[in-house]
Amino acid sequence: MPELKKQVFRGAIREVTFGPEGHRLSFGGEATYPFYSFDKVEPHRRIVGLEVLDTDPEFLEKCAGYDALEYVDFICLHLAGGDPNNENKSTEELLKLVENAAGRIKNKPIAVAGCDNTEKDAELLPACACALTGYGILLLSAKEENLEAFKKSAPEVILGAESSVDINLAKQLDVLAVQAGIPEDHIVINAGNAACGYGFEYLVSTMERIRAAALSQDDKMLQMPVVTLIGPDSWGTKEAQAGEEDMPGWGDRLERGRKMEIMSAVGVLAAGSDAVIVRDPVSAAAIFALETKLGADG
Amino acid sequence: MAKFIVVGERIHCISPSIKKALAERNPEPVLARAKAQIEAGADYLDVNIGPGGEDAEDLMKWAVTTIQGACDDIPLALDTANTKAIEAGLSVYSRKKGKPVINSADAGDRIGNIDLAAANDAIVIALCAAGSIAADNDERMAYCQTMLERGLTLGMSENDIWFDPSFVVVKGMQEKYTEILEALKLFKDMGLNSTGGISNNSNGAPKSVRPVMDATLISMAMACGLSSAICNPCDERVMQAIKTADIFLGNTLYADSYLEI
Repeated sequence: MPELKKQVFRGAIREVTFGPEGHRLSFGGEATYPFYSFDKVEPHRRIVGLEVLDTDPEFLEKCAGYDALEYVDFICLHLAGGDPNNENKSTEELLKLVENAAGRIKNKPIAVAGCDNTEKDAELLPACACALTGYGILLLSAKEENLEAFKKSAPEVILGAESSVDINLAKQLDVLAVQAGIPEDHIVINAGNAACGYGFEYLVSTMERIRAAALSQDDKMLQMPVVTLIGPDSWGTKEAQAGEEDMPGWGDRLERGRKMEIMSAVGVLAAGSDAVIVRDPVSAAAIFALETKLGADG
Repeated sequence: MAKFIVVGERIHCISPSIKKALAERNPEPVLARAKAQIEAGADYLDVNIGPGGEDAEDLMKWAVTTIQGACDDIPLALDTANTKAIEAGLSVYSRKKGKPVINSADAGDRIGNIDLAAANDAIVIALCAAGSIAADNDERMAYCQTMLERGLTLGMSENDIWFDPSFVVVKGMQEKYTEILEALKLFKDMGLNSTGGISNNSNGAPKSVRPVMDATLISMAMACGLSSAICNPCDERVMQAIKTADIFLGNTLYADSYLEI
């Protein structure tokens, strides 16, 4: 058979590494479209993180349990309870919780996601970075409004720059982060989140355009790996929320949520996300299996 | 389309300070201009040593190694009528960041520089002229065809021949410009790359007017398909025009701070 012509790009995605000594985790680094390993071998697998909510009564137990799962690359402590419109937990309370959780996670890198309130996150997330010095955490995420507050956390952490499905803002945030002195290989793009069927095509097309500009236009300000938090949107859909008594034809509720989460995660991985964070271990196992069969190691 | 390529024109023996520095092999003035242009956004640097005297070969070698050595192997355009000096420059050129550019061949006496580029896997600027400038686009495109065929016959990629329609000086040759812009469209339709010394258009115009003329011409030329230019990246208005035209042409993605990167 004649050899197929390979698509060669001038640009490549940066490799980013996080996690504590002994458990460092690298991702990104590819110079092809996602899963196009026939064009060029991808240096790393896409990675999968498992989300634990601070509002979960089994928060600490889950941290310890997830730490033992071989198909989970990292654990994401999602401090949703800090939101003034949620439980409005204080920064001090959450810091204690985060420190306790970190004490139970011995084998994996840690990501910390904020409560999605820009003001609270500006206080909470840099404080978490400070409390977890030495863990080399991934911090999700800085936004345009609070980026300034994250400057002091660099270069200790890997910083997510979140742009709510706006490609121009995704680039702008990276420019601002670099101008603020954050090293380029300490920035990841959080292009926004969506669940299948809920504005998902727009998210996917945004991610695809980010990756296309990074590779084909060699756009340095878009060559950061992309990290996507899947859980909140997927588990918030009516498909995952509706009770079995209300929707008897839809089957098991937990199963539905997992399906939403897996489908959404696979969609964004195919569009260029280098890391996904899911909420259910079954979802994590499915993503890990997919990646192992189709991705860099497959 | 790919992002517009800026070839910085400021290392030129016509500048008295550069001429002196080249003659004395004094790196500071040359490197100061090299670094200022790179900082301002130059992708390549043109190195014009003039026709050069007996030591032209040695001078080009010195210039190439001095600039690339101090500027992270920035790709260069070797600009001299002295072919031996270009060969000497090629012999010490570092390809880490890109192929060398030979500036330039034409369809007349300097057509041999296409052979030189082919033999050295270099890019060549192909001035669509033979001695004097082309009278009209029929003549210009005939020169283009001659040089393209020569390069292709020698195994060059068409992407490595950058066609220059010759941006003549407006004062005296204003009427040429409609055809020059038309020629850029023809190059583009043929899938060819193009370039040219854009600043030449405003030669002799008042200092305050030149940036306006250069920036406007470059925007119009880019709209017609111009893919690179030998110009002054330290001219803020010119760089703003290039970056903005790259946005409208879809060559780069917009971000609020696009002028700063």
